This record gives sequence, structure tokens and C-alpha cells, in this order.
Amino acid sequence: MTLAPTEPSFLAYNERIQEGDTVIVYVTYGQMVPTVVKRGQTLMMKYGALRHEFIIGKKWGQRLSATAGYVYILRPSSDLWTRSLPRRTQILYTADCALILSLLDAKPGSVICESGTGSGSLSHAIALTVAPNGHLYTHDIDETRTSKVLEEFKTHGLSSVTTAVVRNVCTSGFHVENDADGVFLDVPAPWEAIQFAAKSISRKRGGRLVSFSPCLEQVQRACLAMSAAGFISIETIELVPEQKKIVNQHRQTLEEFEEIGDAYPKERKRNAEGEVKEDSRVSTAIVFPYSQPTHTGYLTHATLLPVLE
Amino acid sequence: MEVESPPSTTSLIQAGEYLIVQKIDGEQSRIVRFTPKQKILIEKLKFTSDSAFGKPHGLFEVSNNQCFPMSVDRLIEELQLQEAPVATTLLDSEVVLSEIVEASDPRVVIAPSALKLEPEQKRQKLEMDAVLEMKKQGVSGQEVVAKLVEGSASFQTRTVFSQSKYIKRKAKKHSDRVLILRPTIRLLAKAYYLKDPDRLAMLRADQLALILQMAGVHHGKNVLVFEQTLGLITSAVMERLGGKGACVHFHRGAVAQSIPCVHSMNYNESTLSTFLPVRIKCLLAGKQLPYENNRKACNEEEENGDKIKEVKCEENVEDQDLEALARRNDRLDRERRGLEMTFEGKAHALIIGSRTVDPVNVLELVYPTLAPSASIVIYSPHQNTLVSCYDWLSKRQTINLVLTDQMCRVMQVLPDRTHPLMAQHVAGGHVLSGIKVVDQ
Repeated sequence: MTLAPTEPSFLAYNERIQEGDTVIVYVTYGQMVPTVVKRGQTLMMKYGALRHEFIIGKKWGQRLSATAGYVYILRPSSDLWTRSLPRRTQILYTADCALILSLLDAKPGSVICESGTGSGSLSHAIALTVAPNGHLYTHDIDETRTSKVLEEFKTHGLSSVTTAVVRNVCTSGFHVENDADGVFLDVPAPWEAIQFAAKSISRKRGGRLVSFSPCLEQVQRACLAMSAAGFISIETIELVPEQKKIVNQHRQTLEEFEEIGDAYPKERKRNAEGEVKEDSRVSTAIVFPYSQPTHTGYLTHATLLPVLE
Repeated sequence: MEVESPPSTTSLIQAGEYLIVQKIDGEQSRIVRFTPKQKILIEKLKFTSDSAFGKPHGLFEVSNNQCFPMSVDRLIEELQLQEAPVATTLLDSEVVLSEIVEASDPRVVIAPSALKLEPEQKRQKLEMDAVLEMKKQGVSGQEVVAKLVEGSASFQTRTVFSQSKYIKRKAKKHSDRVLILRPTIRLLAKAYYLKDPDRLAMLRADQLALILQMAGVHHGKNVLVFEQTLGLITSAVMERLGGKGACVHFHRGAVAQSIPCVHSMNYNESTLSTFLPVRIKCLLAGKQLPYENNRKACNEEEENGDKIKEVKCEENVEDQDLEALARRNDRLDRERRGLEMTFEGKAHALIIGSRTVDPVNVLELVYPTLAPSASIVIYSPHQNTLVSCYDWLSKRQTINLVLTDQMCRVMQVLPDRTHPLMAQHVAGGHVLSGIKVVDQ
């Protein structure tokens, strides 16, 4: 048995899957299982068993047969990880993660502080964005969370760009002072952490602050604290994604409706000669699922300008 | 590994730099290339570019067509002053809060002025000419607002909330504070969106962020981009690559044009090295084509074109032409690599941000040779366009197909007066994403 020549990573990968790689096993829409490929192990899921030996050497994105159906093996990405990660807390989903990265002006080379770590959904998104020469410092009050995410970073080849710290940023501030390009807060009392966020941001370069809060009361206090700490261009935004589904729309004529009602036949109609009659159905999008999240949290973002000498 | 060091933001404003200019609380922001002796205009405020050179990026105060660096502390003080009427009453009322009977909160008494239906002009003693004269003399916006409050007949009869609102409105109008900032993707997206969403295919900043995340753009990725969004998507992809990977950009004509968002980011060599423009003509032909003009003989793409002939050619041309030739050879080299990414299964992601072009047309050309497990993200302002893409993709092997739309709105956050803005830019589009898979 030989180990992969390079450290398995979310960032860099070979065309074919090697032992130690993290693979997202796509079972069905909405069911994805992340797994680290290791000889001798077997993955059990809806479509039966899949031996890891079977995965090694295959191409990313390939279809594989399990004992009771087939699955796809996908390259891990920030979005797929968010959709499939083991949840230990409430997590931030892709729409919010995406906007937070953009509001933080995150890019390769950025130094970003985050609190709390939670299940590491946003942490992965940030780490992947700031790599290879930036750094993520993630803070949480719960040691089990930071150690879990550290373990994941190691497995995912992101150790070199991440540091996880057990710390209450509302009382003790951030691990980095005067060096961050961005600070993200997802804490119950953000206003307590804002003065520390200002200290954490590089005085020379200035930086960005983003705070996520579910309640408006938290937002109001946070905004006042931001202004008091010297932040400007403070803005609060609300993001509500809406998922859609593509369906076949029935377009009945009044005659058809009168004849057969709204129970439109699933099969295409054939005429007497057995030819398919002109299909009157068209693809169209409807909002689906019928019930969707309408609120996660407000995002308040602000700028700290570099200090004039 | 070649990596880009974080751009130093400590440097000073230089001539020739692209910069974002916006008024504090302003409605628009402009991307301006600061050239010497230029008049910079932003929402009726005017100053010369020369007065900004050599100063650090940040907050400025404009007076007499000049801009001067200003401390943020002073700005924040001023902003707090605008809240003063409410803040003081709040303090007063808190003391007696327990004794207050319903509806006797001094802050919510209906102002008598609300009942008088006089036009506002009549209630303002200060004439417009006087205001203009004050501005000419270099009186600060702050002082103008103070004079306006003094001159307002109705001010004292307003509720405190209304007073604060009045001050804020006037302060916004007469503000002489500007931010001069280095462009970021976020600021560019907002500036172009506010200026003319249609030219940007209605692409909102939050949707641009979603596109990047769904495509999984990060250091080292190879991304194919077809866009009609002024180079915004291309530029955002380039920034996220951080000097390694490829951003293959399909463009009309002989050279990539109409991509101001790429030019205005002041990118360094390392970031620019990932920009691989490919002519649509070549994409359609499925191979690299020579340039069609009189200098064609000098640079056929085939390397076996005999060297002697080339040397002869070079001797005949002027230095200027030599430079042009070098540029063209660089373009051809980038294009060759771009086509290789496209047609040899090396692309990890495909992003289409279309305004007028049918995305299915692009898919037909590049989808078959995308690497398996590649993400496909298509943006369009038209939902039915994406429905056809969905139909096309679901007939091929694409999984995890998701069509989303999102609402993004800005909130007014003020003590006791927090609510979404009454009206705001809402134009936007839809995002379809999926992952390509293969049978074996």
C-alpha cells in the first residue's frame, strides 16, 4: 500500500482519486455523503454497500455501481461540503457563505478572523478562498468544535492556512491583533466583540467587518457599537434565497378541461395511427420546495479605514 | 509555487490609478482613472485629481475644488449629531419611562406642521442663492445644514424623529465628504449595478458572490468564463485565482474588449498571468486561427514557419511594431493555452453570465470537453433562458441541478426606526448550477 504522493487536499487534486482523498459520494439529490477513501473500508448508504477499493483510481465525477444502485463520486468543494458536512451546530448555508466572502473582500492572501467556528461550514469556505498565502483564524468557546474542525482541516489539506483557537472573543478578543483584513462575527452579543474586531484589523491596511445576527435587536446594538468603534459605511442587508424546480406545465384547452378535467394524462397522447400527438406541455419553473427558509440572519457589514499617520 | 503577496494598501494615491469615488451616504459611486489635472465629479461635488495624489486612500473633505484627508472620528461625530434630537429625548424619556402614560411619549406627538399643507420652499427662509453663495465661499456642508435648520420655520414643530430625518436629508444633500478607495470586486459590482444594471445583465453583487461560490473558484482552478457583464465575472474569477490556475475568457473580435472591470482592478503581473483570452472565432472553429491582417506573415501560429522569414520580417518593422508583435505573440500563447484548457478536459468549472447570447449555444461548444465533476454555473436575467439550459443539461449527465433566485434588500437601522428601505434597486437574475458526471 502506498500513500498518495501529495497531501490530499480540497485545493489541489489529481485527475484520479487516491487513498486519503475526501470524496463526496452523491447518492440522490439532497443526499450526499463525504468520506475519506481508505482501503478495507466500506460505505453503507441507501443504495447498499460501496467498497473503498472500488473508488481508488477512478476518475472524479464518475458513476460507480454499489450493491443496490449507483452513485457518483464528486470532487469536494466548499458548496458540497456545506451541503454534506457532519453538523454539530446550526450552520451557514451556501448563499450566506458566498455573500459573507464577498462582503469580507476575501481573496487569496487575506487574513480573516472568524467567531464562532460552529460546524466549520463557513470556515471551509474562507480557508479555501484565502489559500495558499492567506490565513483563517477561527475562534469558538467550545473546545470540541475547534478540535473537530482542526481535524477536518488536516484531512482536507487546509492545515497550513488555518488556526483554530478556543476563546471567547466577546471578552478576550481575537487571536490576531493589528493584522486582519477581515473579521466575521456570528455570536449572540456581537456588540461586545466589535471593539476587539477593530483591534484585530490591521491599522495600516484597514479592513472589513461582517456580523451575522438573526434578530433586529442585535443588529441595532451592533450598528451603534460599530459606529462607536470607528467603522464607516455600515449597512445591513437581508438575503432570502428562493429555490425553484423545473416542471412540465400543462396547457389545456377549455375543451380538454371539459372532457377530462384537470387530471392531465401523464403519457403523451397518440392518435389513431399511433403517432405522438403534438405535446402541449412546456418546461417552466415553479417555486419548490413549497416551504423554504425565509430568514437566516441579517448581515451587517462595515469598513475600518487605515489609520492616518 | 508562484503566489501573489497581499496587495499593500498602505501606498498612496498615484496618478494613473483607477479609484472608486463615493460620497458618504451617497447614492452612487464612480470608477475613475485619476489622471493629472482631472476634474473629479461626484453627485455635484467637484475636486481636482491633483489634490488627492500622494495622500492615503480613505476619507476626504472637499472644499474649494480641493480634497483634504479627514479623520474618521470627526465624521462619526458629525453623524452622531444628526441623531442628536432623538438621542437627547431618548435620554430624557428613559428617566420618566415608568411614569409615562400611554401615548404621551414626547417623541411621537403629531407635529402641527404635518397638518399645514404649505410647500417646503415657503417654510425655508434661506434662499437657494444664499446656499450656493455659502458653498462658493467654502462653507462646510455641516454649517450649511445648521443654517438650513435655523431657517426652517417648521423645524421646531416637528417630532424629534422628523427633526433627525430632516437633518439627515439635508446633510446627505450638502455632504462634502467623499471616500476615495481602491477598487474591490464588491465596490465595482455595486458601482456598475447602480449606474446601469442592464449593461451588467442585472447582475447583483450578491448573485455574483453566489456564482463564484457555486463554481468553487479558488487558487489553482481552471475556469472557463463566457460573460456579458463588462468583465465583472472574469475579474472576480481572476482575483480568486490568486495567480495560479486559469480564467479562460471568450471574447468577440481580435482582442478582449469591453471589460472595464478587469482593467480597473489595478492587477499585478501574477494575477494577470491567469487571464487567458480566447477569440470566439477560435472557439467556434474548435482550433486556434491565425490573425487576419497584413502582418499575418510574421506570426503564423505554427512554430515551423521558417525562422529566416520571421527574422526578415522583424528587420523591416519599427520598434513600435516589434512591441505590437510581442503583445500579439503573448496573446496567441495565452489563447493556445486557453483552447487547450477548453478542449482537452482541463477545465474544472464553467461560468456563463449571459445577457443576449443563448447559454445553450455556449454549452454545446464547451460542455463535452469539461472535466468530469466540473461545476457549471449559468446566470441569466431571464428565467426561461435557464429553463432551456436545464432541459439541455438534464438530458446530458448533469447532476445536482439547482435553479435559484434570491432577494437581497438593505435595511434602515436606527434606534426605534428599523425597517427595510422603502424602495431600492431590485433588478436581478437567476442562477442555475449543476455538476457534470460521466459513466465510466
